[in-house]
Amino acid sequence: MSPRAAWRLETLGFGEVYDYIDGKVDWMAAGLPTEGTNAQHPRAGDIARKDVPTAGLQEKLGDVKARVEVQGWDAVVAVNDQRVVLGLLRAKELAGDPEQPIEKAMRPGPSTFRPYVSLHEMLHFMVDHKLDSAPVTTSDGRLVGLLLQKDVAAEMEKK
Amino acid sequence: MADSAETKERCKGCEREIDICAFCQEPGCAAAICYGCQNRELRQTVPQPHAHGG
Repeated sequence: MSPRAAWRLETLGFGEVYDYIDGKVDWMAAGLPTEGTNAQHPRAGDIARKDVPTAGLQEKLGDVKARVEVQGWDAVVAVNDQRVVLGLLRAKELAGDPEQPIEKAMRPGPSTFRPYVSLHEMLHFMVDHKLDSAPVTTSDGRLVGLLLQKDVAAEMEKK
Repeated sequence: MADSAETKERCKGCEREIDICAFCQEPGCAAAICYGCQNRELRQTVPQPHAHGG
């Protein structure tokens, strides 16, 4: 909220009022809770798979592929030690030379999406672009999870 | 010397010429979209509601 609105709320008797300088969109992008009618609709961050496997840049592709296949995944997110998304490997990239490091095999700088994006819009985009998965991150690039098209479609069918 | 015949995409929203689709980053995307239009359509960015300081 704006600083003036925050001050006004204090005059109305609210004890804990803060001015979130980065704004409402950044608040939602961090996956923080919201209230109101729109807050009731599930969004990308709600159903993104939080258990998506991750890998470091220096890991060997063959090792990572073997590890994630056991877990039933065909996608891996390359992250640094702060869980900031640096790259993405889908089936095509995972099929590369097993001796190369993740850094060479990954698709660098993938498009990422914020947790508050509506499922309806994401499904529309994912179908149009024939994309099975999309990484969801906070606005500072930290991994929230991997959104799967099949999960979005299943969630939309519930309605 | 750079190859000037390089194929470019055109954003389906603003029709601006773009190097690659911002959403899928696949060359030859039939629904290619620029970063700005993508973020507006997905509402990842919101226009300033008013010009004054709030």
